[in-house]
Amino acid sequence: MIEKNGVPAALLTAMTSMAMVAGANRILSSGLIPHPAGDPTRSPDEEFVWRKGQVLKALNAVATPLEEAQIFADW
Amino acid sequence: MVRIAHYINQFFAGIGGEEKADAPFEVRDGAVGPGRAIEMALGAEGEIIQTLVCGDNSFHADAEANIEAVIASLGRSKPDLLIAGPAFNAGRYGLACGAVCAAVSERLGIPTITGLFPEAPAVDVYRSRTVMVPTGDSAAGMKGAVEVLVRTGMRLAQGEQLRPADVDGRIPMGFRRSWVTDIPVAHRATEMLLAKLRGDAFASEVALPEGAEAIPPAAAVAELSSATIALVTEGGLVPEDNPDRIESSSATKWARYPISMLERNENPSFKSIHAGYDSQWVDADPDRMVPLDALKALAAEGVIGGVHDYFYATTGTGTTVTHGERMGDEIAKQLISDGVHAVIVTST
Repeated sequence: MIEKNGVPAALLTAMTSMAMVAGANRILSSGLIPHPAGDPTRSPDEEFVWRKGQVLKALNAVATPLEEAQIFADW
Repeated sequence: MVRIAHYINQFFAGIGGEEKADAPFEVRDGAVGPGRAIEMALGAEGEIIQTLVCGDNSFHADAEANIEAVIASLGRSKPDLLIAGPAFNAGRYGLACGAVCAAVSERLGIPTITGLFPEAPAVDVYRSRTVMVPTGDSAAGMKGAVEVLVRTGMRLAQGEQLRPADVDGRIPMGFRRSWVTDIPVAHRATEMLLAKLRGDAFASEVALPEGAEAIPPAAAVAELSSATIALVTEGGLVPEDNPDRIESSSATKWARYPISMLERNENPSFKSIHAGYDSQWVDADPDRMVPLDALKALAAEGVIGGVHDYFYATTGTGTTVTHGERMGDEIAKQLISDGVHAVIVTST
């Protein structure tokens, strides 16, 4: 609904196929179900660097013009 | 001959429109208004013994007392069936029909049925507590609505078991009933697969949610370095005392909290109240759900213009599509009025 109102929104989730069914447009595979922006297996410093990378990907997604819903490749 | 009681509002009773919405509860003998069409459809099989009438405002002004009056009246007349409405897409009238039917079914054990537009507000509230048949969104659909109300209502009055909602032509009540079949599941699954491979029609035994409406993607952010970015989550992250009482599942509420509060994360600290995932990792570090530390760092580096002052939270488990869409729309309008250019959403 945020996109419907004209505001681009990137969705970080481990369940990308469900996000697609639910109608999200800018979808990124991230983390695991209980912590889409976290990776507790890493040290705190490494986890922060990883999270910053995921957020940067989300920012690139909202800056990418789209014709239709897309699951962004984990580039 | 099946004896039926009928509930309608002041409009359908011919008392008047909005200006008469405070008409008090009353009971009349026999059929009134749409009740006459119901009797036509019943033919010789049934009759309306009484019509209960209440104004739309008057009902909700003291719903409890009006329901007690309905119960007292039907407790005496002991009809075989209560029909309410049809109320089509009406808000107050539909909710009154749902409330009356639910109370009469549960307290008197009398079968009840109402007719509503599938997206009417009362459908989500009362669908599990009374039988509902789908109607059009206005009284223009009265004729068809009456036919289906009577057909299904007569089955109820005669004590017949409900069949699956699509077979009966009902609005699904949201529960499953088991039954015995002679065909083992492996055979049914194989038959279904073969039908699918052949391109034949087949019906799943498990109803899937309807596909979401496709929404054209919003225009991309042209200049990230001057954009204000907001964080939104359905992960149920709230101050530990949950001041806005956001539900742990089937949420109807959302709230926003200052990011300065989340950064401090003490007195109160933030916890997830979401009942649909193990929140131990998020409770230990809320950035794993709302990645504020990373977004602030990217703002400090000049990658984005700034981080919006609030993050937005609700719970996304068991939440109806209707409430989800409403909350999303409300959040979007708040974000726009606050000048947010783009959003990062996290979802479990």
